[in-house]
Parts: sequence; C-alpha cells; structure tokens
Amino acid sequence: MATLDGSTIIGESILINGSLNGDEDLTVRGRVEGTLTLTRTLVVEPTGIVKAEVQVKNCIIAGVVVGNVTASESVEITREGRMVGDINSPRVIIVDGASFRGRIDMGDFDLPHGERPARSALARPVSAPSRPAMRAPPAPLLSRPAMARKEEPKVAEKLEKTEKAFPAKPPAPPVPVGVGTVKRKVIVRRK
Amino acid sequence: MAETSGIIGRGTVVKGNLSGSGDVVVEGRVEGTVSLKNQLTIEQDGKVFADVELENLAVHGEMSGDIQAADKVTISSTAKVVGDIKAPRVVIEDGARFKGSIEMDVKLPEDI
Amino acid sequence: MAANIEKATAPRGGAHTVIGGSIVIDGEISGDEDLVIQGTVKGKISLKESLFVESSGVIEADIETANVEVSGQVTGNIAASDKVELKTDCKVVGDIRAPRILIADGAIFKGNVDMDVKELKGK
Repeated sequence: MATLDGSTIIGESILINGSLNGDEDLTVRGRVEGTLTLTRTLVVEPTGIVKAEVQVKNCIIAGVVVGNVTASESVEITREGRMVGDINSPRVIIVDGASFRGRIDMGDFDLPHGERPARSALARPVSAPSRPAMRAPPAPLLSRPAMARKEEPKVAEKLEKTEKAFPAKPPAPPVPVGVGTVKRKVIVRRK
Repeated sequence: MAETSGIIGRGTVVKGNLSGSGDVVVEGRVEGTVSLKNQLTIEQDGKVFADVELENLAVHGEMSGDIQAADKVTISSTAKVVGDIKAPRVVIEDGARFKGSIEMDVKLPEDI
Repeated sequence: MAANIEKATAPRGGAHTVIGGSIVIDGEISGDEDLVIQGTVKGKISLKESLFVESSGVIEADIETANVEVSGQVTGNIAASDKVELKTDCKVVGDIRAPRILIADGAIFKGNVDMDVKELKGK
C-alpha cells in the first residue's frame, strides 16, 4: 500500500483517542477513535482501524473503518478494506472483494423513476455520457400498433418531469418508446 | 455461465414479474419484479424499475429498486442506481451514481 | 517491535509515527513505538518508547514514556523511565520525573525536577 509523501503516519501500535484535525495527508496503520477531520487525504492501511466520524477530501480504505465518512471528493474501499457506516461523497469506488455495510449518498443526480431531488452543487452531469446511443437521429415513423400509442405520453411525461428539475443539465436525449419491430423508433421530444 | 434466455430490446417495455433460469439482458424497460436464477444485465440504455432477486446483477444503465443477489452486484461507471443492495459482493466503479444502502457481510476485528 | 532506533539526529528516519505540523490532536495518544510530534497535541501521551517533540511541536499534555526529547513546547508533567532531554530553544513548563535529565543551554524550563532512581511504575 503506497504511503503518501511527507505526511503524517500513525504507526501500528499507536492508539489515538480524541479528535484529530489536520491540513495534510494522513496514513493510519494503528488505531484512531473519535473524530478525524482532514482537508486532504486519509489512507487507512490494512492494519489500520478507524472508529470515528471522518470528514476528509479523499479517503482510501484498505483497513477497517467503523463510522460515517464524508468526503468532498472521493472514497475508495480496496479489496482488503472493510467499512461499516454511511458514505457521503460524489465519487465512491468499491473494489471487488471489499466489505461494506451502510448507506451511500453520492449527492443528487437525475434519479431513475421520476423522482425529483433538490439541486446540489455535487450533482455532476453524468447523464450525457451515459446515453450516447439515444442520440441516434430520429427514424421515420412507420405503422405502429394502436396499443403502443397509449403508453407513450405517460412515460414521456414522467421523464419530462424528471428532466425539467434540472434546467442546468444538457438537453435530455430523445426517448425511444415501445414498438415491436427492432429498427423503428418513436422519438418523443420535450415541448 | 447460463445461456442468455432473454433479451429485452431497446424498444420493449415489460410490466410485471420477470422470472427465469437463464441470463437476461435488458436494453429496454422493465417494471415490476425480477426473479432470476442467474444473471441480469442492464445495458446502458436499459432501465429497470423493480425489486430484483438473482444470482448476479450487472448494471450499466438505470435501476431503481431493491436488489438481492446471491453472488455479485456490479454497478458500472455508466450506471445510475437507487435502491438497497443485499449481496456478498458489490462492486461500484468510478463514475457510477448510486444512492441507497449496501449490506455485505463485514468481518470486523473483535475489539471494535 | 523495534527497540533499536536512532536517537541522535533526525529521529524521523527510524520512527514509525509522525504527527505532522498541521495536525491538532485533542485526546489521548498511547503506543508501543516512537512518536515524533511536529503538530499540536492536547490531552495525554503515554508511550513505551521514545517521544520526540520537534521544534514546531506544541504539547499541552501529561507525558508518560521511556524517553523524551523536547525541541518544541511542552506544558504538562513529564514522567520518563529512562531519560528526558530538553534541547536548545525548547520551552517546558511542568514537572519532570526521570532518572536522567539533560537540559541544554538555551532551553527554557519552569517546574520541579525529580530524579528518583526507582523505576517508574504505571500509575
């Protein structure tokens, strides 16, 4: 596990019980209990145990963390990492083999199923890259079964509501809706 | 790996209970419940609004619902997932959007 | 557990725990290894090995350890089972209890000194 350069290291046999604040990177190989607040990166090495409320910029967990972690940039739980607690961070990475139990909140984003989250500075316009396929040029409208027509407006409405909550986002990609044939698509545009 | 028993294509909407023993790939939309013995893959265009119970789940698109997997759940970098996950293995890739709880088996040292 | 550490100069090289300059700890620190403090610690420090308070270090705590080497500021009582060394430009306010004490020229110290030869027992 890489150690950060010129940073604070809490050795394996050290136990700190109380509040720890700092403006530098911190590597924990021992045990820290209480609260831990850093403006930089916290690395909990495999031998490290942090039983605390953690507030940092970045957090890499390869050891044990019990407590809530709030990170302004990212949280990563590595293969040897184990965490019990809630994570509040715009980026969360959980590697295969990691253990985690708790809630994850990545801030607000365009939630599936028409929910309307409040605007947040943490929201990233991720929806654009995730739907490149939908930007296909509209296909000509051919014969469609009458049944499919009824479904369209309801679905379109729900998605419209979701998308209207985020005027700052890139324009919503067209939504292809229900036809049996593979090649024909109905594109419903926002009014 | 099981044979792909079903592909729900881009224009297809399934409302109801989806169950089966093969792998299912969703490129369209599924609403209701999903209960599979093997793998569900939600492609980038796919949307699933359902509680799912399966062996493996791989999400590249959108999913809203509770997930119970016997083996592994993978939320890839293009995915957006809202719901509670209960599985022995969960992988969240950089760039994924997730909101909910995750319950894996966590072995903690005795003196915690 | 490594007991042979360079104590002469640059203790950082051999030490395992370094509390950096911007770190503020309010609580208790305990451990079985060397500790280098460049930041601020309030509360209590209890080590089995050596404590190095570097010139930027500020300690407002009672200290109990084997060795202490102070180049910074300490406000609190120090009890060492082996030696206490106060280096030039350090500032220590508190009582010192150790079998061996070294106070360098230029060190500022205010408190009592007890060089009781008996081995220090845990309180």
